[in-house]
Amino acid sequence: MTFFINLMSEVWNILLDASFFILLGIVIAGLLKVSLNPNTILEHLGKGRFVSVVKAAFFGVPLPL
Amino acid sequence: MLPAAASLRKQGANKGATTAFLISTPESGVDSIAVTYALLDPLMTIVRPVAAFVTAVVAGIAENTLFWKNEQKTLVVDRKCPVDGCCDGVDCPDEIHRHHHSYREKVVAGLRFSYQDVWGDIAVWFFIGVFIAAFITVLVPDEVMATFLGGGVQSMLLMLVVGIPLYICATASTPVAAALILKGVSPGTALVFLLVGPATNITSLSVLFGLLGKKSTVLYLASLSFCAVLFGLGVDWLYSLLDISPVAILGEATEVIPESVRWLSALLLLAFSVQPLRFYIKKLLSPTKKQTTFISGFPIAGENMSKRNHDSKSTVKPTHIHNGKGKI
Repeated sequence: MTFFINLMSEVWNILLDASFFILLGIVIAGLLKVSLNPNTILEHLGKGRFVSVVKAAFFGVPLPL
Repeated sequence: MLPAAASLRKQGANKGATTAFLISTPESGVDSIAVTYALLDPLMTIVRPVAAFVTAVVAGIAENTLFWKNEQKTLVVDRKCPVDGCCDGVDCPDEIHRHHHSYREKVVAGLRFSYQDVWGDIAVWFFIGVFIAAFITVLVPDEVMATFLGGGVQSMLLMLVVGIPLYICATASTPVAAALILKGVSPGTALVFLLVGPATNITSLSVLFGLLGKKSTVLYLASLSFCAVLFGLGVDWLYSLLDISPVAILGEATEVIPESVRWLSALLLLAFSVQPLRFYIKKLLSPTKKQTTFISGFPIAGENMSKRNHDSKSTVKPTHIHNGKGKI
């Protein structure tokens, strides 16, 4: 029982620490989607041996999942 | 994640660019960057996306240097309106296309996307991550982790063996990494976990095999592992150089947030999690039903929008490449 209480209080602590920042993160992700048009970047991924790689890598950094 | 990369490849992106995208997208995102700031520290918040970018570039350039096939193509992209798909954008001039919706409509659509899609996709994984972290904190004796994963090349290699077959998304891996660091795991070793855990798992490796071929998959794994270990060692060196105790500064960033805001955020996040969790449990209980929806690609009558979204995510659809947000 003590184990269970410890576990749940630990879970709740992590949630308290993380939630505000998670909300912030997902809101930015959502607004990025409707404000930027990533397709224009995607169009360049077919061209260039090295430039395409750098663009793809850079483009992937802010994308969630 | 993989469907987006698969369609990227099919629509003409070269193997190197596909590889780069396949590494930097799961390894880092705005959501995981924010969580890293909350649960780890400012140094890791910077290092994580930088390491993801560098790893992606190294792996992509290695691919295009060693196995380059000149296949110049222009990608066919889905220019569909991101707000509600009211217009396919093909014969629509950019100026008009951008102004189909008011500012307000865009913000509302963005917020809906935030909790329905972005959080909907990671909620289940995040809670699994939180529980793993809590188990580590409560159960694992302090000395055990520090002995095996306290730093050095052998710690990093051991972490590679654990992290490569494991599937855990970037956001969910963060509380686990925090728990590991608290138990004496070196921050560099934890970084290896943060980089390799999200980038690969057994399923994604088999898909990569088909998508890129055997040689490229091996190169992908080699570049990824090499960069992860290098960054891990670099981070450990940086912490000792700056004389920072990772345990002491862990999670300090959240202390500036008032208690009431923290509680409100946690409750709000829990409220957003109800639907994804319920959907996940339902899916677990009825695998056959999932299969039907999956093939038809249409919502079963009466099912809500979010359910359909979730189902469509498990199929590989080339049309889903728009904005690269097709996910597993």
